[in-house]
Amino acid sequence: MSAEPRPPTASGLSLDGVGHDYLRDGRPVPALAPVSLDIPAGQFACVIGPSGSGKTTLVRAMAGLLRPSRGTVRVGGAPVTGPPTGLAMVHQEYGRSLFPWKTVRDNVDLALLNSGRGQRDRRAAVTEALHLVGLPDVERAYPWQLSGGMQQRVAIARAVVAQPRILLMDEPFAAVDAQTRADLEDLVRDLWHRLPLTVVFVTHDIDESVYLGQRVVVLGRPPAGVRADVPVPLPDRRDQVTTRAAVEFTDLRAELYGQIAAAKLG
Amino acid sequence: MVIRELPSAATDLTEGPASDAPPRTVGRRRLRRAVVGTALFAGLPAALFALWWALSAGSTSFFFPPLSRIVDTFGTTWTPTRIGQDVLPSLVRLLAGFALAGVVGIALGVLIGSVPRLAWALGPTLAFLRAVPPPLLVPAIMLVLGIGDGMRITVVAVGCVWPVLLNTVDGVRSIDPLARDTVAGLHLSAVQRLRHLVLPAAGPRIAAGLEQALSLALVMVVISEMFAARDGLGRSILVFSQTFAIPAMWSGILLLGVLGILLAFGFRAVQRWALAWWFGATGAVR
Repeated sequence: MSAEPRPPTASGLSLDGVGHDYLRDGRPVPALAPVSLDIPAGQFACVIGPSGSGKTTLVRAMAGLLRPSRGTVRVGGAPVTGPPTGLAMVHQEYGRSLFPWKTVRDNVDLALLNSGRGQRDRRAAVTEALHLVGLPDVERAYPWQLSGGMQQRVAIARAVVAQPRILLMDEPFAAVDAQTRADLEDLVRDLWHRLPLTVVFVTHDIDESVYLGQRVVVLGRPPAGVRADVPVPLPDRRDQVTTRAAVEFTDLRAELYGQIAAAKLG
Repeated sequence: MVIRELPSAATDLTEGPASDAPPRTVGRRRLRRAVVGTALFAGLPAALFALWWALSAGSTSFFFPPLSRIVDTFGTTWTPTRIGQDVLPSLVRLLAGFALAGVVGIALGVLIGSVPRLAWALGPTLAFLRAVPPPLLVPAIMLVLGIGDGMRITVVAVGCVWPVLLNTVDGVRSIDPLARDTVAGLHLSAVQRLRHLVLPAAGPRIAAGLEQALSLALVMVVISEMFAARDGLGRSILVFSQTFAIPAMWSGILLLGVLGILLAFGFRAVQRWALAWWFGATGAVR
């Protein structure tokens, strides 16, 4: 993919002191220390952190699925109070977020049901989205007839079919094998190049965050919030072999390993 | 490339896991499995029938006539006219009451399952109502609704609504939170959530409840026809026993059993069609 400028229609995302406590036996347990971040429109940002650092809490707050105890999430400048329009999410567990009673086509169509578009128009959009993720021939299959990697492609098609401006991905490739994972990583980079998207990609895999992102945010366990926020000094054009062998890649990866190790110690 | 995997996935659907063996062996194995399956399936009822036949062959008891006599009586008792007059009305009442129980049970179940506070508030009331044996409700319902078909359909519905209601509540409550998150992010309306998530997700449980309800419905319709009825299978069997037409009474009981089997098989056929995705996704075979 060439380095085109991002089309201007993506939305930015900003977090202002967003923190969250869970109640356990009536007492608040900190899950996410206050985080302030500004993710400009069109950016590809990765979020990493050790388990217990509140990555999933953060992404659920961004998606409007969880009301944080403190702070404000803004999408395109507007405060988030519920799932915002123009924002789509891909979950780690494709097997649970795709509906087994619906065909692949109908699963993708779910995202368009409330769009007010006619059936023929929606059908065309679904076909296009499935082409975009490299699944042209499975519209009539059921998700459970497909491999894990293909199911996650269906979930990605459902996320992009309604032309969102922000795509949130919560450890989306943690459950697939290495080769499939590499293919899916390149797919996400490719979609980001072709569509006007801001991508927030949460992962526990340091290499994946460096390979994918323009920027890597390292979360620490509470009471630490953002421990590090580093730009990725890699060219826009990336591939699995040369990018991962580049000095910039290995240097940043080593630095982030250090950050994560420090974050684990607290 | 991942997409290549599709053809094998698609063939698996039709061929089954044994598709790597030569086709001829597969055919033979499948035939044998079908024969063994049918033998097991029909064998026990046939054996029981034969045992009854043999043990009752020399019976001189007035109340337990030989099965051969019961079978003879069956043909003369259950003539097409009688089936039209007594069996058909029972079936109509049964299906009407079952349908009513299904609609009410699923509607209330979805409501109660979706609102945890409602389940909490209704808990004691439901436990009380459930504890009342449905046959005892017949006189009470008769006082309110008289002795017409409305009363009998209501008795069937009241008697068999519980398994539908309770299974629907459980089915709705156990919907995966991630599935709920998914539809929340897709901005579906309440009606769309019901249609595209709640009812299909709870579908297998609802079907289990309906299956139990159907067998209860047969019991309830017979009971309802034992009170002040002019026709119906239950009334016929009651009249036969009161007039000491013992072989005819037994033939009526046999007919009830056959109806039960037909209803259960019909239900399973519908279930296999409506929940094909579920049987496919879980590999469940019954």
